[in-house]
Amino acid sequence: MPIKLNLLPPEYVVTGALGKVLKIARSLGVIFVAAFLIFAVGLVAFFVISSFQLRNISTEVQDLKSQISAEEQSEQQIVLLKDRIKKIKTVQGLPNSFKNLGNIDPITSTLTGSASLTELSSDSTKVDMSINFKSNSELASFLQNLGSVKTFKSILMTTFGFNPASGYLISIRLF
Amino acid sequence: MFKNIPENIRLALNSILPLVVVLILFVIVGRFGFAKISEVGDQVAASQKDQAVLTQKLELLSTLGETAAAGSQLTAGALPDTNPALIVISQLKGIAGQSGIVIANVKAGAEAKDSSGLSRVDISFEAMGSRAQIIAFAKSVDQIAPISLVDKIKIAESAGAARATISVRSFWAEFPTKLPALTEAISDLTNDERNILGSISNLTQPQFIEVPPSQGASRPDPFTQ
Repeated sequence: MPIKLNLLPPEYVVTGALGKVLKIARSLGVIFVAAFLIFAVGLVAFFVISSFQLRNISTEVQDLKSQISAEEQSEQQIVLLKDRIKKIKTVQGLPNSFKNLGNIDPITSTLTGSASLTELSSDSTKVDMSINFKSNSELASFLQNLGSVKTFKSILMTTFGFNPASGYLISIRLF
Repeated sequence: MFKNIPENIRLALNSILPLVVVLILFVIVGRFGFAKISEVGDQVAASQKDQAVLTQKLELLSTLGETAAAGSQLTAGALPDTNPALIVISQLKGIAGQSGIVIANVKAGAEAKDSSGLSRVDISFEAMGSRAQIIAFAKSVDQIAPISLVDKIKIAESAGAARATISVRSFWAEFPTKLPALTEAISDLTNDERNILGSISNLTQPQFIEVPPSQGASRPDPFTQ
């Protein structure tokens, strides 16, 4: 039967709970060293791969930049085009008389016979008209047509006059 | 120095110290390594973003190139970078001739800043013709380049002939002087912008005639005759 000998001097012997703790610590130390090495190698590998990836992308970016620099004239034209369109849109949104000029067509086209438009003034907000009618039938017809005009929100008759020689003179404001 | 340490404590230290050292190394290398990786990762992300923007930009430059070349000329004609008063007057005379009316007393005001931030010039003139012709003429003012707006129109009619005082506004604005940064994205034309470009392309462009330099008659040499 084998005999278990302990040749360590008594002062080298660590017994009890401390011995178990030290044994676990030694095992953990070995595991941690191994884990650390794997961790460090992983970090370095990841760093190297990322650096290569960065270098490749940077090369492509530089290549794209040089291609775009070669297209500088097109870029200038696009920038100019967008700038002009933006400003043209602003101009197109400014108040003007075009709408009112278009809207008075149905009114002026109803002036027939001896009726004459003595004065017409238009701006972006309103249209002022003075019309001379020789007969009341023409005046009545005009006013009837005026009632059916939907292009102006409001129609105001500012003056109404009669002269036996020239007939009826009315002034209206459309806005 | 360590000779006085009891042997069992030395044994304990031998067991624990490697563990502590490894843990400290974990912390140091981990912090440094993660910082570096994070830095490279950020650079990769930024470069990928730049790459995506530049690819899109290059694609747009090649597809929009022709539209931009023609469109920039058209729009620059519609909204020039200098006072367009003379061109507008020429255009107005052109459409007046087409409308069969006569325009006179043309006056261009001083340059002014419009409330929209653009530069503006007011042009006023008198137009003679029939009422229908004058109204047709006034309506066609929005069909000329440079863009002009009829501000006010006052027509006085007598015996079938009409005389109008018309005030027109025209605009200009300086061209942009800076290009966006190389890595800044540019967007394609929106539908709204394309519609405006379409409407601008229908405007009557001013006709410029380039007068070629005269050749000059050959001068005889008086000393050889």
